[in-house]
Amino acid sequence: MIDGFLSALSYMVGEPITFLLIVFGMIWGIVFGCVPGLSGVVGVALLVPFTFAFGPTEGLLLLGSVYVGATFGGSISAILFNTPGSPEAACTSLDGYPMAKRGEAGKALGIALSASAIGGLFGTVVLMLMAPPLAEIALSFGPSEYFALAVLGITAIAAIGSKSILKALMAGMIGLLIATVGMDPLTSAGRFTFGSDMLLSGISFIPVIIGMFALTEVLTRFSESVSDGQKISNVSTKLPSIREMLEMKGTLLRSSVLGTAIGILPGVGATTAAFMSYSEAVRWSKDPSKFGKGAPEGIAAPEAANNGAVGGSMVPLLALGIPGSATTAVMIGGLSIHGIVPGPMLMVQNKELVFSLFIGMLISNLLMIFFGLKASRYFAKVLDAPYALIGPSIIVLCMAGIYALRSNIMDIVVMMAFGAIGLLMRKLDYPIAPLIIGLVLGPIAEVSLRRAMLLNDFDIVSIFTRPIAGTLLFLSLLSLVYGFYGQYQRYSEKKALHAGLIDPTE
Amino acid sequence: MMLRYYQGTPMVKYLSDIALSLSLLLGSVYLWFVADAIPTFARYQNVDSDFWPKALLIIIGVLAMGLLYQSIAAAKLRHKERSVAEIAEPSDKSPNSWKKLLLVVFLVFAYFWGLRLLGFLIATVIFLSFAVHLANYSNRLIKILFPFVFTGIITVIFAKLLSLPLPRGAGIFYDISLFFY
Repeated sequence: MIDGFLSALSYMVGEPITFLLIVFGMIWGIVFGCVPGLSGVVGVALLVPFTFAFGPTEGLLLLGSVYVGATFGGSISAILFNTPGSPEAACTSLDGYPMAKRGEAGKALGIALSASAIGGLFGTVVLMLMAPPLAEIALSFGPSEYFALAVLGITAIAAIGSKSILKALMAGMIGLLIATVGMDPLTSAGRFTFGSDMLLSGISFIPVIIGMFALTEVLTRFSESVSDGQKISNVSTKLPSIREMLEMKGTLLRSSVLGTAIGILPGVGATTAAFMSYSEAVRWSKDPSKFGKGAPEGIAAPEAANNGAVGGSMVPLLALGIPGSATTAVMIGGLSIHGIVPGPMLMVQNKELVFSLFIGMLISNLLMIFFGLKASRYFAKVLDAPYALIGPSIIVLCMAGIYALRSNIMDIVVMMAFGAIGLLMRKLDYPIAPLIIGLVLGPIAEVSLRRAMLLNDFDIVSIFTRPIAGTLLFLSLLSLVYGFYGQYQRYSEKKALHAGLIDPTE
Repeated sequence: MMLRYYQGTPMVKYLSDIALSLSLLLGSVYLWFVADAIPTFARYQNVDSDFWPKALLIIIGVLAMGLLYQSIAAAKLRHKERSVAEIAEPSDKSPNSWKKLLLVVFLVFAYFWGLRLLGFLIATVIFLSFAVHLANYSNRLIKILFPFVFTGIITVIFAKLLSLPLPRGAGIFYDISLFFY
């Protein structure tokens, strides 16, 4: 491990551009996290084509720092404008904005910053400690285990944090089906090509992600008029004192652990981590009534958790090749440009790249403190930039970025088509993330299942009887049961609410 | 009878849900036949090229039926609510501006064709000028300068700094683009 670190560090010192890219990625990430309607995943997706101009290490460092920056950036607009810049910061506004409104905006930003840094560093350390041994274990995984992991990825993202589990599952299945377009990886037979030679190589992943995240976002914003909350400006970040930090030590530790653990689960990301940590903070609090009114723990819990989840979600990506969140699914696109397949072999074949990412994430989390302290007020000014300029600029970046990849105008057509599909899905409340995860996991799931069946004389039951694969499939089933139960509970509450439309006493 | 509150989801949303579920169901049936026509290989017998797509299409079909049932039930409930609720409070969702959206979609298509014909520089300046105008941006100076400045910056970053290709257009526009990148 130390060898890997030293080798990566010497590479980074020898290539100072890596540090410049980390700084740029942080700024880009904070801006995208800060502006509502842009979010970290859009920031990462838009930069994927740019990584083509650099080596794989530089590209991954750039995308990793954007991910870290965006997760913190969302809290700035959540606290100052009551408008979470990204979904993972939605919880932060619950206590951040009330605290800012009572004149303690600087303190609220300081708590968010310290908690983000603690959570982020914790998640990165866990990533560094867990990814290499997990990858070693994963080297012994067979096709059955990989199939089970892919199933867990799809069911977990569909079951946890979705409004409608049926719609989320449907999105995941459509993603898996889109992944079958093109040549069959085992027999090379053309599937769903409808006579088009262009479709034989399959549907290119990067135009799909840019279309579904970036273009859809712009189209959605143009079709809705979003009203802003009351703005709080002219503020400087004030870090909490040691005593204040010690008062929150339980919340910080619990949320960092919870966030990182949730991030590690395939398919479940920072947003779920933030919400679960917030509810845990309320549950463990001696005075739960203070939450929602500007409680420091109400800011620290989601921020430590969502930043912890960043490192956590990288664990399955690097060790198993399974994305831990929508953003890491998009990052696979960045790696695929350079022909790199994430998974256990990455640790063996590209040790330098993996350890560079570890170092890069540590630097990003430290840089976050600097930017948060010195530049929060300037990042908040980004919110003054009118969407009338930002929206069209993103469309230009989408078009130019996609064209730059392969100089293929048809990739732009694919992006536009998926932009439209994404818009339709948004309007009808179908989540996009399961579709992307399905698209990424499709080839892994299919090839693994078919290989497993070939190895076991077409006996599908044998997959369930293998200890690891069986456990993972059982967890998938459990996540589905949990998801359906949650939906049933919400349905019952809604029904009771509707029954209240008519007052029985009248 | 006292009415407490009523938050309405537009009926068109439920009808769209029904239409999409139905399309997914019919689509899965159609694609099943497409998958059935995929060439098969004796070596792979039960796990041939059509095995995985067909398995997915069965799940999609079942899920579509579930969604169809759910959407119809929700639409019925909505219809029932409507008959008892007299006062409708506005929904907390932002109002849709479909006309604006259609214009943006048209503009994006026009930009795509512009890129092929006119090249990145000219097409982007024209696209941004129209888009900024469409979005009702008020500052006239920025409205005029922004398309040129932003296009210039992106061209320098892509073509000069990162050596990434940009569309050059066709005919005379190709020659004009060659002059810049």
